[in-house]
Amino acid sequence: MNKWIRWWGLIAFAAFCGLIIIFWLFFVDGFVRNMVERAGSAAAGAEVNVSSARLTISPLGIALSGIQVTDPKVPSTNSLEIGRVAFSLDGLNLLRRKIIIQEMSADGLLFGTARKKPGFVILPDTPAVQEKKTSSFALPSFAIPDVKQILQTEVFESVKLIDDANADVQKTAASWQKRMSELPSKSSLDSYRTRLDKLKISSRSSLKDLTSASLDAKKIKEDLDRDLERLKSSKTALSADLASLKELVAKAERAPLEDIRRIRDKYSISPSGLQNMSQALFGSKVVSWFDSGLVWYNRITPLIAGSGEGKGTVKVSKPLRGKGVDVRFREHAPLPDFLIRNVNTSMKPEAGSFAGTIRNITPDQDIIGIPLTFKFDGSGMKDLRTITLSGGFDHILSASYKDTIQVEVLGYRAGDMVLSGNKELPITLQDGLMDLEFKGLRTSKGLSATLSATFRSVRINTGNQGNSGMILSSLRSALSRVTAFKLSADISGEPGNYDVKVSSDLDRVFKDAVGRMVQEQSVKLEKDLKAAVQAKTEGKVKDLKASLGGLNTAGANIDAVQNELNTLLQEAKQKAEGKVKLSL
Amino acid sequence: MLSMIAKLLKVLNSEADPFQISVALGLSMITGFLPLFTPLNLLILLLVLVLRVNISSYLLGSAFFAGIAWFLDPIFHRIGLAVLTAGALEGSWTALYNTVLGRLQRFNNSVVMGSVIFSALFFVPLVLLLNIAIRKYRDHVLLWVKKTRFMQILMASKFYDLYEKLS
Repeated sequence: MNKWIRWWGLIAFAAFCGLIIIFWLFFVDGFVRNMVERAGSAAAGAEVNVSSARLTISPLGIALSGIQVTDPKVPSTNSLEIGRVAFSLDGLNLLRRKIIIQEMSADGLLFGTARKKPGFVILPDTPAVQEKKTSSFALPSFAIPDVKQILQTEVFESVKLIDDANADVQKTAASWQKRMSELPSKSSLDSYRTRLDKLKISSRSSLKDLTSASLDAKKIKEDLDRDLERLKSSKTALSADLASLKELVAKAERAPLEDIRRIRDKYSISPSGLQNMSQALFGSKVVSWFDSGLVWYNRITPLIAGSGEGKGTVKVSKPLRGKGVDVRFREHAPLPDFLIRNVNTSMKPEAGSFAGTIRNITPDQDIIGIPLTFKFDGSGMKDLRTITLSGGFDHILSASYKDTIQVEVLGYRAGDMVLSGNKELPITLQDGLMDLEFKGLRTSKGLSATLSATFRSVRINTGNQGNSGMILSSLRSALSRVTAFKLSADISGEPGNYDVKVSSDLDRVFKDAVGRMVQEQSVKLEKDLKAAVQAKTEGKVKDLKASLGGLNTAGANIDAVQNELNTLLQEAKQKAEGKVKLSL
Repeated sequence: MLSMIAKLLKVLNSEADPFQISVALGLSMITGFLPLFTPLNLLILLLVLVLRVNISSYLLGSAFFAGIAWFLDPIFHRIGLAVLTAGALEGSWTALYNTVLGRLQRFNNSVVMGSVIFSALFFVPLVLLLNIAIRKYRDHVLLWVKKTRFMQILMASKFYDLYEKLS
């Protein structure tokens, strides 16, 4: 027995295990801290710091303190700071590699705090949410334009179009001129007449003469038929050419008007443009708010979306670390690999309170069959009467997921809130109260959201009054008198490609203030433009019509020759028939 | 590197039972192929310490096979995945998956399962083959090697001094 057994080996093994346990107890807190920092940074897309981590064996739990999450957009600040996070772990399930946390508490939440040194930012693998084109939010120009200057700078498409049409007509006319010379003409008609006259013979003529005359008549008829056929096909071709050229000329005639309309719309505010001022002024701001929300949504959703890939009745999923793949089998008592049943959070603002609960955080909602839900309530805060934030991420059926969020803010005291960063008409809410309601829905089919905000007791600043023209001055003056207004936005589409429709009762204010002025300006500009554009194009259009008239004449000539030939043909037929009767 | 080769030669040329060396190398194959911190590796370590196998050979072999595992991982993954997703075995794997030990050992991981199966299949043949090889080496090769010109030169080198110091 002793030949094969080394009893001191048992002591060595126990000593080895003891050393491992001591080592683990000494360094486990550091391991936990590093692990949380690494996983947190990967999830947040920016540096996450943890001041200290403490693991307790009995009861098994972890307490983290001083958690700082760097804001990826402003790395010198924290988007979130949590004073303390504590939770207990289910030990038995941990041995089964399942992190099950029944209760987690997060206290001392702070937002937007300064960092001692800027945190690093992890660049995303996937392209960032595409920036919404801002062209649809551009304001029309408020300056009264000088027509002479417009004429110098603008390219008049109508002039080019008329020139091109004229060239086309000229080219077609030249082609038809050539073709007409090849068609039967007056000399051809005279030739036919001579040939027919030669057929005039008496009743005393011989049978041979009669037969010869009959053959000649037949030949003339055949020639006439051929020429008539050529004329017919030429006339059809000419008609087609004329139709397309007429269309071209009509388009060229309309072109100056279109130029006038286009330039007028570009340089003046149309009454319809005035109706969409809210879209132009607030659209980009709404997009910026919404994009910020989407960035966080895109960070959170991968954490709750299951990573499993079905393969028969078992499920294959890629582990976060390590090699190979983990194959998941049906469990007798199914539990997700990671689950936090309840997270209670609270923050202590300067005044009032803000607290909330998040339930069922797990990437395996299909296993527990319950969606993630959250609800936060705040009241009596310094600049805010009440705030409610609630919603849910339902990924139980990943193919038809449904994520919702509702935000309700009442009595938010807004100060120096930039509503529009437009250079010509910046709008800043210097002071005022805002009530806001936002509802967002994201499904596999797309996203939709509505925002409605009511502003009360407001003071609006529209920037430097300076030398800005009559319309802008009127708009500024009207805005400075506004004390309350409503703003609403509808968002729909796909992340990165969504439409925003903004409306506000400020549109009525804009219209009342400058509607008549804009109308008058628009009419005057249109009149001046009409005179200028007509001067440029009138002569060209006349030439074009004249060229087309030439082709119409060619058509009439073909008709005349065709009629003459038809008369000759009838004559030829009669003569041919007469000769045949005589010969009998 | 030189000291490792010297150690190996020392073990091979020692009076240790060839079976003790070959079993140690067989066990080191399992340790080397499996991820380091697993319950199965702890069990292997207990066996190595309690059974009278050559510890030097085990340590050297573990380092050697861990290096080889780096190249064999794709094969382990294929074997493991094929076995884990085989319909006929699903019941057994499901039962194992529902045990604490099964989850702790990560038998449901393709590389772990592949390396366990590979090691189990090759353990006995490897031990037997090494056993024969060591005996043959001691009976025939060792004497012949010592007489070769190469060995004569080698024996006069620094490497041999090192070997001598260790033996």
